[in-house]
Amino acid sequence: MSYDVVVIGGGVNALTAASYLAKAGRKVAIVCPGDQIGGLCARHEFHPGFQSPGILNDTSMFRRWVVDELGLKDHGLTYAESTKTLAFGKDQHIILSDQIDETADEIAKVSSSDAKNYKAMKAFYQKINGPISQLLNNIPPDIVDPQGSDLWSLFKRGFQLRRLGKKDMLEILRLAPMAVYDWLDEWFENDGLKAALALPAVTESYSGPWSPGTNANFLMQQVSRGSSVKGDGLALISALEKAAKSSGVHFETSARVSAIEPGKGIRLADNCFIEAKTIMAACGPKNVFLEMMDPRHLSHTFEQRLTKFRTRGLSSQLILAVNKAPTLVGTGEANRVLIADDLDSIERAFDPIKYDEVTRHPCLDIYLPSQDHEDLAPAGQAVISVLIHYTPYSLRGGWTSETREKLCDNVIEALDDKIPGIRQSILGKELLTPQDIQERYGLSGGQLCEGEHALDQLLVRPTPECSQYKTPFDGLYLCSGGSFPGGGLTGAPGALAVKMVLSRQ
Amino acid sequence: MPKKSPFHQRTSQFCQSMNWKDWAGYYAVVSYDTHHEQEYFAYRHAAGLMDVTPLFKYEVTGPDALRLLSRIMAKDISKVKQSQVTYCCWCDDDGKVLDDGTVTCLSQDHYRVTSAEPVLHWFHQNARSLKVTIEDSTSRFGILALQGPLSREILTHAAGGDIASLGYFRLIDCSIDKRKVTITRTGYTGDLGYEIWCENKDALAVYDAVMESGKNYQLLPAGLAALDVARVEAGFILNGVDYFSANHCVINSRKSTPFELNLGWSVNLDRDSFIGQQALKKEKKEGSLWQFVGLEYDWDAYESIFAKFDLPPQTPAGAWRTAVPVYGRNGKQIGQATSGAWSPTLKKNLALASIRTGHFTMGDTLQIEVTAEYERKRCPVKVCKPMFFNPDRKRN
Repeated sequence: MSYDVVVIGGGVNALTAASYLAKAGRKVAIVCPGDQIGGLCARHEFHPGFQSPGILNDTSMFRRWVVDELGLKDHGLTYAESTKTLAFGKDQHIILSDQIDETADEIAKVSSSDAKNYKAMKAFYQKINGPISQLLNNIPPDIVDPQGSDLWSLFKRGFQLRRLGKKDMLEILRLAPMAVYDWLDEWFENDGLKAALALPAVTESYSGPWSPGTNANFLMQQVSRGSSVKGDGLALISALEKAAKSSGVHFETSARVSAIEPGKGIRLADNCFIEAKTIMAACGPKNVFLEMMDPRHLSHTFEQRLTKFRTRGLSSQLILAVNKAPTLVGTGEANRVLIADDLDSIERAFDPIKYDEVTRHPCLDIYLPSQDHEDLAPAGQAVISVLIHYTPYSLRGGWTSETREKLCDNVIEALDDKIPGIRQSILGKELLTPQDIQERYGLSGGQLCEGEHALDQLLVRPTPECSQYKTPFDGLYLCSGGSFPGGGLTGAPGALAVKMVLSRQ
Repeated sequence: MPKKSPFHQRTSQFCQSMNWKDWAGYYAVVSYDTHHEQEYFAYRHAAGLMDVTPLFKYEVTGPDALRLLSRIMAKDISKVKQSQVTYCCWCDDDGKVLDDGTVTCLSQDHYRVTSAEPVLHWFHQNARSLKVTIEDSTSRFGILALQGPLSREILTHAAGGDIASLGYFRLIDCSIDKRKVTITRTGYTGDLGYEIWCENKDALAVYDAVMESGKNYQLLPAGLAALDVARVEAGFILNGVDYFSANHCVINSRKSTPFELNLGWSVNLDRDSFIGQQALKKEKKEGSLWQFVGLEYDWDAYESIFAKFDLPPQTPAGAWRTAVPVYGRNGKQIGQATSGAWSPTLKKNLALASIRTGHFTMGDTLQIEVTAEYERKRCPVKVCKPMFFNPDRKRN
């Protein structure tokens, strides 16, 4: 078998990269380790008759320009009219949506000043969106060993930032290294609101809301968010898969890569060799270099940098099969539910993992997929996916059946408190700890973003040698969430990496 | 406080001068007598016995032992046969030397490494995904260096086994006073010599047996001061003196490559990847910035510098290791001499130096700084290969 490009992986970035390449006239194969395309959005049956929708489902940051350039709307992608998140705080709930006024009205029920400030904060993000989006949607400049074009790009970014005016420019410089706690504290008074806004921004790195630098991730999310894809991750994957197939991408599933030979091709676990001058790895950088390549080919410095690239898993997933769709307070429309009392409770949930322990009171990020995907569960029944923050990779004493059951119990207790009757409706469940996530999805450390979203790991990601998707090896490129601008369902690493590949051919 | 080697009971008994220093965390004798001269002549005319236990020692075992060492060492270790010892150096990614030492092949899956500095961390960092165990065996063994023209006779007397036919840089397992020992034909004096490895518990018995056998051969316990003179004569570099491990250099210009240290012969470039390969290949192609050379002082000129102050020529009593500038034909500094000594055997004043490439050829006369009566003077020196003393008996 011989191709121009072989793409390793089966998720959003692999599909994005493959489609772009095929559209550019390359003969492309996707080599997917799992039996299903989809990566972290791939389905699997976890209880007879019940299917998991995968781990990631938030499509609100998937790039619009990727949708347009790949023509995904022609392949069935549509946007949801509105995305609602039900956020439980202590003795309160707020419904957040992607509509600013609607959300502000909701917030006004708990604090009128917060409602006003919510609008002001959104306006601020709108104002600074230009230069930040420019940064997030282009190949990052090489700031370690800048060439002429990098310097020009840096200059342009700097100039765009400066054009915002001195006040806003200085504000951006101030806010990026801040702790998200302090930033939100400057805007809002309601604890539940602050917790709901902060939770998605702190769970991708080994940090709590008090950790410095967490505000950079918050900023990145705020600037990147738009409407969600109707049908979430599963629908996004389906559109991407159709687009790839229609452009002639060849798919190999259940194909585990045992060795990468840059410039030549890849060897699969069954010893089959696929020839390709260009290899794009949409799997974690650590997997690529530390598992699929002969260590002798790595320079010492590069190898050390890779081993120091932080990929600590922090979240577990509990998938529940329930005999009836849960009834939510306030609205039936929300398909996402957050449970975090306040910022301190998030911090307290984070604290124990530093000592390889797990909190008694986890913060929960719940996804209710069945409203869009009734085929995941038998008629009238439903599936609930719960991301549990925070859980350590190496639990002290190990992830035994006892500790796993205890975690499930704590989670279900917290769920039952906010969504009464859940406990009685459970027919089956599956818990994936960071270790299980590593095992099932091949993610180093069980890290859902293929590398922590810490301030120092965002722009130079994963290492200085590879910060522009290139690697020290000719013909080998990275395009997973382990590259700029990071993990999640954005499509950006896949698309930007292809731009780099094409610019060099 | 420094540790005591397993031979300490004996060395401290003989060390009348109380002249000790800390060598890699161990008490080490500088000279047993108030002056090292006798010990030096023992090395050169009879034999000296030195406790070299403080050398760092590592056991690299497992099916991937060779793969690890092939990755780390600039030399192709796969060429080292069983029971063979080899001298080599290892570098960082930029081809800058980290340390030099020996690798011994005890069996296919057991190699032994000696080094001047601790290397456990470096070895571990490079052993990821390899089936290999690295043990720091420094405190498990005692080592004696028996060096000098009569060392073969002494050892033949002391040890069972065929010492006479033991080749250069080879090893045999045999026994001394019924204690198991491993003997390698290696050393740091540039002369015929052996190193004797024994378990700590056997150390004193082995020491006594060797001393007993050496009774009729003028064998003397010898220390570091005498060794330092011998190694300058032999032109052996010393980490921390003639070059600095890249680990400790704050500035890049302080670092050295094997080619710059006259160790190019120990680098095997055309083979599987090893650390520093790319950089060294580039250097081989483009040339090195520095060359490591020997310098011989012009004695008449040296004498006249001191004569101007009505002084006899003064040479340091032992080897020196405070670098002094070396000047080229145009009077500009082109390098530095890093160590040197008056050679009592060759009757020459010698130095080892690093000189910038392109400013000299072998046999040229350069100038070295000499201090006479507190004044800085320049003395002509002849550039030669850094090996002043190299008797046939070393190898044969």
